[in-house]
Amino acid sequence: MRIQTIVFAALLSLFPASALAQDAAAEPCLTTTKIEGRLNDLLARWTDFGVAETEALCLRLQAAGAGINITYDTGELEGLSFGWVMLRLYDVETGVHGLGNRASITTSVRLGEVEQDLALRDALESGLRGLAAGPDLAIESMQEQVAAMRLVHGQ
Amino acid sequence: MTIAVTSWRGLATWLGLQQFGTKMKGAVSMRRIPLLLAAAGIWLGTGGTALAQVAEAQAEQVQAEQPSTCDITSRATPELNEVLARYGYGFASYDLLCARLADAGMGVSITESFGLVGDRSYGLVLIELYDRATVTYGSMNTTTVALSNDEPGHSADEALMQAIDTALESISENPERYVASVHDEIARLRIVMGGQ
Repeated sequence: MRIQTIVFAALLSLFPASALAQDAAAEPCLTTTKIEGRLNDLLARWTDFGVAETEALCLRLQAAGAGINITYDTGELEGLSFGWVMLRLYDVETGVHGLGNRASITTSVRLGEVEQDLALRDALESGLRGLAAGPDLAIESMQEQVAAMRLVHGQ
Repeated sequence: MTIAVTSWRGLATWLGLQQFGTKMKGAVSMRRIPLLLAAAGIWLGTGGTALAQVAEAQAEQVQAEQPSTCDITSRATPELNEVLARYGYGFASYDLLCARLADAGMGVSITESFGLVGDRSYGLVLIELYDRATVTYGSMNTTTVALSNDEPGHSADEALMQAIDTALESISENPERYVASVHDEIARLRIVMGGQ
């Protein structure tokens, strides 16, 4: 089975200018992500979406060969709109996930799809900030899991 | 208990996604409260503990409190294991799922987040099956979120257990897909890791 890794262009706004981009000719840092479904459309629509703290994160993940798998959902429960995300790092080469996760949930008393999307956006921003604040443990967990899988399934 | 639950099942990675309907447990209160916009974000189950430590501490725990003769083996953080030990599983198809997992040599891995969002308790889980012999995780998972109503007295533990039970009940409705995803992942990793 082929591993599908999605380099989502809209995430460029998440990780706009890396340290490497001080040279105008340098390539901007792009984080490899797995995002399924509607969030792709939302990110394309959220042209002002950005989390400044993730500039360094992008470089750190690239150096580690890691991508971000973003699991998410929105909806309404108990009279609230909600959006949540779970961020998991995975090894881009092997597709193996680490065991660490970053989760974030946002609720709003205003109902409707627009509010759900806003809640999702807020949750995603919060989750990315949290991941950017301390990616090392998540990367370490991913690397440990890859090593374990090599031990078990390798030659 | 009036905790509403929504379940979402999908493939976390490259197999695609499927959306499933909302499940409710208990009476649902639609009482409105003043504007509430809050975000909660934590590293799941770690409570600030190093992830590596958590990973090391993740131990297979047999839920011995179930009256069933079959025990579901789970991998979870110590914090979640405490909650599981206190409440035990409460989903209807426990025996069915347990028997299938035992037959397949698999367990359930539970990744969780729970606490307060605004003035509500919430529980959020991602559950996937894993092969007990190789500790290889399937690529298919189920996620569920549970949110309490605005009446006081609902703990995050309760919301978490609601989410877990709903997710496992969902898996038990068609466990073969999850079992197959573990087998597929083992086969894929053997190729990727050069074992075959």
